[in-house]
Amino acid sequence: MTTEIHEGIRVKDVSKSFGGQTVLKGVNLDAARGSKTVIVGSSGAGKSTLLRIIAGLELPDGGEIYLGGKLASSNQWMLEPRRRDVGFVFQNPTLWPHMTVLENILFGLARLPRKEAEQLAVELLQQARIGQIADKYPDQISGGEAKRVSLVRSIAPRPRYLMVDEPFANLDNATKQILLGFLMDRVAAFGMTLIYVTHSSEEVEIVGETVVRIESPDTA
Amino acid sequence: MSRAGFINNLVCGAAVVVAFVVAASPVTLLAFTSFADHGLTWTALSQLLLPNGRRLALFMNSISLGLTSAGACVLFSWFIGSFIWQLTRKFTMFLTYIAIFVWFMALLPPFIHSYTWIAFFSIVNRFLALSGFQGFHFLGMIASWWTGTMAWLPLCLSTVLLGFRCIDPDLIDAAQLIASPLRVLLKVITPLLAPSLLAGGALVFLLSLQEFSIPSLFQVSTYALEIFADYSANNQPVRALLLSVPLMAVGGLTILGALPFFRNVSTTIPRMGRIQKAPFIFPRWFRVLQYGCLLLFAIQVLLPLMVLINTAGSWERVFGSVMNSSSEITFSFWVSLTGSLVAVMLALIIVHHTVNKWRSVLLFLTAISLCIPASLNGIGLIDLYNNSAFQFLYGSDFMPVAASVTRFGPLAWIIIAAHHSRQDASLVEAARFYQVSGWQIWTRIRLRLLMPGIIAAGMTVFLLAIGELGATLLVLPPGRNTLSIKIYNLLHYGASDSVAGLCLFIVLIGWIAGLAAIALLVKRRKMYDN
Repeated sequence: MTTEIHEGIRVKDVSKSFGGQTVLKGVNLDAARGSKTVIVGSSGAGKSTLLRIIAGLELPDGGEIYLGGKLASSNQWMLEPRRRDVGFVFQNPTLWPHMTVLENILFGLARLPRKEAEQLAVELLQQARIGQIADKYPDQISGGEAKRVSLVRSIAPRPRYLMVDEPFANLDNATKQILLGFLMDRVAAFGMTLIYVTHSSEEVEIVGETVVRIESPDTA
Repeated sequence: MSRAGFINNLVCGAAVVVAFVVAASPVTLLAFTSFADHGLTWTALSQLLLPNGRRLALFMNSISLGLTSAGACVLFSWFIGSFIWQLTRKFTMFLTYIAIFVWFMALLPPFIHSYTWIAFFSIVNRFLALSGFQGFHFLGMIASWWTGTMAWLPLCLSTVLLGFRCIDPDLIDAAQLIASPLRVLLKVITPLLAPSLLAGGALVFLLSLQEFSIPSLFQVSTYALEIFADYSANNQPVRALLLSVPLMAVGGLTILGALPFFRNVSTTIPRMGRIQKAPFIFPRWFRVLQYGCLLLFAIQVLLPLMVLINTAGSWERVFGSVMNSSSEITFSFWVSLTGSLVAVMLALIIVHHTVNKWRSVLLFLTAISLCIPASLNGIGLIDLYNNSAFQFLYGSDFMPVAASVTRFGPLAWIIIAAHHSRQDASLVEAARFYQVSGWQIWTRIRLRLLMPGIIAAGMTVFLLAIGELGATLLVLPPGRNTLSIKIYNLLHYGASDSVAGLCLFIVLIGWIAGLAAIALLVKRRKMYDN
């Protein structure tokens, strides 16, 4: 195993069940620092669950997760999500409805001085071509705009690891291209380790250096 | 407009009229008849309308008791709710079960809490006297505030717990990745919870404004008691109506202010699938505050049981008290059961015909009914039925049943309407493809889907009607007595084993109803899981 892998994400023999139904069974995955990994697989194969386990939102039933060479999760212990330096782009935008678009992004930039954080947020919004909606609330923007905001919010704190869970499903092709371009540009610029879940072969081609297939334990 | 559209509108209109008759007709009619023949000078009218002197002091007592109780309930509910939510994140269904149980605790009549605290301090004072110390005088504003807060806390807490249950877990997940648990609670969860917190606080404030059994037992005069006392002394409905206006105005303003928040109380409960397992640990100082408030709630739930069991002496005595009041218990059950059945049936008719088109009208009528003091409802019912046309109803068991339906009927339709709005409309639409009749769709699909809401509404009205006092006191037929009125009258003579036995009986009914509701929900879930 190389040092490079140690500094990235390591998933070791991870298993997970929900209510007696096995979702993940003995899954292994190594993602080197700064690499881009695409996870594909049938519906219900546990792709999203794997991302949630890496992010610390779920506890694995078995196996271990290492981030930057350090143990982040086992079936008995887990590091708090906020201490993992992980960003997460959910399937749905999950924007906090009581905050404006700008406030949604600033929430993750609390460690920066307010002025600097605002400048960074506005800059990213403009790069995502949604600078004009900074002061709007989530219920005042379109679904496509909400997905862009969600993307910007996850990227803004410059996390070391970024989990992206089928964020561009149901988007028109032009919007998808713009957002993918923006995402890949930022991932490269910030040197993030990306794990990207998708069903789309087109996205696999654009995003993936490494493609990992996960099958449901029942079909494997 | 098409013929079908016209008929549909006509039926909707008729359902709204039924809703109006249930919620507001006694007081509306009272207003018309009173002003047609009031016999009061304008000076007398204005003096009744605008509180001054002693009445102003009573009015301020009511407002301050309401505000402080509401504030305390919201604060305690926030701490307790956050603790229960945090505890049940791995078992989200438990949050629903706890919320249901707390809701049934909220339905216990307030005078039970008065009795509990009076009895508790009487026990404490006995021990203090044995040790040579002076006892507490648990009377006055603080005693009334504390007891009121304890009585209304479950109501506010169940609203807040429902609020917690309705928060989309993904929003919390997204925040947890970048912020500490306390920051997530303050910046994300609490703003999302704000409608529930404000709705809970507004409910406590409104109920506290109209409540007089607690303050009167602690020798505090309030404005709601003044309305009842004035009517008892003068027997003039117009005076009661005018005296009620300031209270109704404050209630109306509160509802106007709170209505947008009531509307925002989400009824969309996220599915159970998402179980949140990421650690959510608050700082130690915050946990200490949570434990403190949780202890208060444990006292709220367990103290009535412990004190009542202690004061009642033995289960034989409880049984004896219950047997001695068998006629009151039978009558209370008959009135409450009939009231809840009528309220639910009317609610089904109203909701079925109005829920999509007239939701605002329903909310408005519910708001009006919440603003009308209980005693004014009783006076309105007397005015409505005490005439030659309805003499056969006046003085019969119909009157207390009508009091229950008028007071709590709107709650039944709001509960059923909330449940109805959560139903998937496509389930009913799918049934239409099978060429079954409207009646079959209604009985085999719609009614069954609505059943949890119907049961919740029926149980709520039943329990509230068991404890109803303000309106029933005025409309009780000769020779009849309800359990709550008997207890209330006995309470003025202090704590005794017979009162404790009867109060314990009501508390046990509340517990049984709460546990039965949870058992039904568990059974239903198992049915779906299988």
